[in-house]
Amino acid sequence: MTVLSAARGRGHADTAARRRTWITRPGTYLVILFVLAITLVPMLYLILSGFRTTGQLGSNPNGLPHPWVWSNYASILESAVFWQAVLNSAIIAVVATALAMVLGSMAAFALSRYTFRGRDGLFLCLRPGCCSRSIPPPCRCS
Amino acid sequence: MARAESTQDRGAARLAAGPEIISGPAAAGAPPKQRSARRKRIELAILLGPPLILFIGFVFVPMIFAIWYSLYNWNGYGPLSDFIGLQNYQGVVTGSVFHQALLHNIIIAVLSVVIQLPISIGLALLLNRRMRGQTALRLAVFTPYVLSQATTAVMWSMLLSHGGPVDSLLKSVGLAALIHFWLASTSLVLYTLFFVVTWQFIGFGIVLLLAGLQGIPPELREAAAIDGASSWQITRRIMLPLLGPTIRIWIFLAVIGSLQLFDIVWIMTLGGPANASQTMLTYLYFNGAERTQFGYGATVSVVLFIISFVFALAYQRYALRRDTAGALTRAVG
Repeated sequence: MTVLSAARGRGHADTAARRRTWITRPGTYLVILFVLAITLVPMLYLILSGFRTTGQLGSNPNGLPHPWVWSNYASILESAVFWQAVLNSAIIAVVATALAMVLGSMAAFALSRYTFRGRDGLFLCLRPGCCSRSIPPPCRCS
Repeated sequence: MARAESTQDRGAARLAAGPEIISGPAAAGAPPKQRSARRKRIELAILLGPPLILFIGFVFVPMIFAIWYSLYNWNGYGPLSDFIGLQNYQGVVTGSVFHQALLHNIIIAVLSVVIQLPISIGLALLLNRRMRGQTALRLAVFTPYVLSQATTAVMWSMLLSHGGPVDSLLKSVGLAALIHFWLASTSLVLYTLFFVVTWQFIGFGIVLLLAGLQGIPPELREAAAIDGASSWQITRRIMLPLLGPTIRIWIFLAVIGSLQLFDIVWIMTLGGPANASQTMLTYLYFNGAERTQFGYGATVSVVLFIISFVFALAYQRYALRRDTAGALTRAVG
């Protein structure tokens, strides 16, 4: 009981320290601002650039688009090719994830829970195999 | 050997124990030991068969094909008729462009470890503190990693174009002297690309290290703080050593990723100007697909594979040995 109450006492004492607080030190604040700027501003610029024509990109790449061009986004959303591409990506993502999950966990279970001859060798073969996708498919032309 | 056999059997017996109880008296035919061994073999075949077939079909067979192609002078069309032995290998290993490409990969790998790692650790320690907006901040830092490499490459090509946003930003803060041809200068292009790679992948390192930091029990920090350790001492003597396994895995992934750098480089510079940003994979692709020297391209892929494989094995043998020691459960029985 004494242990419990001591723990509770300690927990009570540092809730103040553990509570999420605003950052107070200016240095930390600056670092965070810098990181946010360098991460988000390029992506913001990319989004904004979608509202320019190619001509506008060439003549005035900086600043806000003038005038705002909506046709780029509109034509992408209306394009059948784009939606076909979205579907293709979605199929690859779903099938690859499902296969990797199911087959990967099967192999992992066998390798970790069973003992059999050649297990360590097999494990060694599989591991670098998945870490280095070094050899691309030999022929992309067919 | 006999000992190993007996451990195996014991392991099998234990594993089979569960189902055995259910089907107990009905299967009185074969002696239990033999039965459980056969059962284990069937279970292993079911569990390991499908993954192994996929692995062999999509990893080993293409590798064998690549090695086979590498022995021919082949343009990708028609039959393999012009056998030239190891001539392709001689060309790759003695080629000065390949040496340059390899050097560039090594430079990127070293810079990753020397520059990205400290930044990642610093930002992970920062984001590990409790503060308002923590989740939003972590999300923001991770966003670039979610972008496709192609998107990143196109985006930074626009940002870094001559007279583009980066240049005008530098001009507007009075640093016009720093403006360069970011992607057209042979001495600068590799470092520009390294910056872009860092921009994209640092979020992954930070999230990995954050996960590692969260695995450190807070009691250790508290105990050290009670003993009077300064926050620097806590970081240096407690947090960093306990982050060791995470850092070693990160280094492994970073070096393998650096050796296989392709998408960003190919889209932004095509390996140029004058091979100044050629990596091994852009060299491979340029020779294989663009110049349709598929035999030569396959040779580069085999050499690249050997380099990556040797690194992976050596690193796992010497650096990751302790970290992965528990990955296989020794002697289940």
